[in-house]
Amino acid sequence: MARHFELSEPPAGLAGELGRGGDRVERLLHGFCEATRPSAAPGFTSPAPARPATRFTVVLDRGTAAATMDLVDPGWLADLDRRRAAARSRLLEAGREDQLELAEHVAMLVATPRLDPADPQDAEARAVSGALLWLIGTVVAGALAGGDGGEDEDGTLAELADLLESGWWPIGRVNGRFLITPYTAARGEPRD
Amino acid sequence: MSDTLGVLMNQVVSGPAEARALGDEYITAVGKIVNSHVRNEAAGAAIFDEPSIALAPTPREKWLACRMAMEEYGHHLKFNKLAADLGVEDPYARSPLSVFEYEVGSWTEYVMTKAIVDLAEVVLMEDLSHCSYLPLRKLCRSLMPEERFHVGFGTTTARQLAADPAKRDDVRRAAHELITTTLPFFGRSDSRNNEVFRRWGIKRMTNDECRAEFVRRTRALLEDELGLDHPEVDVRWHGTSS
Ligand SMILES: [Fe+2]
Ligand SMILES: [Fe+2]
Repeated sequence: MARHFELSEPPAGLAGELGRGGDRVERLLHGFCEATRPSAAPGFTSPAPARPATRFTVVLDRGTAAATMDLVDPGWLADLDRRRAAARSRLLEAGREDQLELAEHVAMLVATPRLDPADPQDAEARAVSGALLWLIGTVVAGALAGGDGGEDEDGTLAELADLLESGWWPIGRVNGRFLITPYTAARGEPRD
Repeated sequence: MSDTLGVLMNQVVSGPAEARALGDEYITAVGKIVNSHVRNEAAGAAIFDEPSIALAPTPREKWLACRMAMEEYGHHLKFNKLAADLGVEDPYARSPLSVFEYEVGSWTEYVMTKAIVDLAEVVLMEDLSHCSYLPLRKLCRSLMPEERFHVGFGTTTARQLAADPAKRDDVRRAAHELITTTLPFFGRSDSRNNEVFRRWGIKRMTNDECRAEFVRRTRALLEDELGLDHPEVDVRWHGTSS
């Protein structure tokens, strides 16, 4: 298996190396790269992605998005933790430890530098980027295990993967609503 | 600062080819330093940071811990790349240093590892920010903002925790234990390796100088910032491995 120390996008042939579910992981990472591509002109930000299903509540400014982090339902987080753990143990049982490790390694290599805060001391931007990294790690495990069935029957992780792929940060469940925001707002980029 | 005059004190070695031209002693010495960081950054991420993601009391802190874990993992990979470029990749030759035997059992303990263990890392990286081997110098300089953020997060959060009467004893206990277990991290007082590092301008400070600087800062943290006592410590260490 190829070794990677630095990556600006998913390496060629990743899906094949990851085995079942690998194509989903590769698509997710390409979508993430597209949504976080630095804009060419200063002051210009890519437009918010097309709105997904109406059951999500869209938050458009970073202040609100960041403030709602404190209100996210711990039950939602615990549910995702359980799904992630179930997906991981299913992969380990299936002898796919190397593929899981490669998927997580590549996802973190691609995503971490793209989410670097502009100001190194900006704790809020670091927490936002940590939320995205945590979600990416969770859906990557779910995508790989997806074909094996069981832990994500209602498609929760698959839906989060769709949001992440198309440029949305699923902030989480807050007071019965599900909040999402575009990466661009989450990263504090100026809006047109 | 030691009075040993390094042969490369004011010179730079721009990359692997130049390093190889200097001979085996230089390569081996740089390799030892780089590999110690390869191991420790990986162990830090795996032993302290990743398990702590589950211990965080709030979503915001969980995600901050996740970000910091990924940063440590990224540091591990960057040091590993340096070792590979130099042809000295040997990340599993020795187990991680003693400090990683400390088990993180609570959020408070995690916070204190960022305030104290990452502080030790900052002291070492500040010294290496003048290293004769330019790729290592540049890497350490580039990682400093993240390491300083980790220490700042640890310090700020420790201040909040120490102000809570229910947590104050835990903060003190974790701080004392971590300071004591981190001291050997700087190497033996009579280390032959350190002599070689300084002769080649790879490091400037002796192990005891680094240890004393670390203790100066932990004393400031505990006594001035947190209003706690500092453990009795010896800045010399004569352990069994160098
Ligand atoms: Fe680090
Ligand atoms: Fe650190």
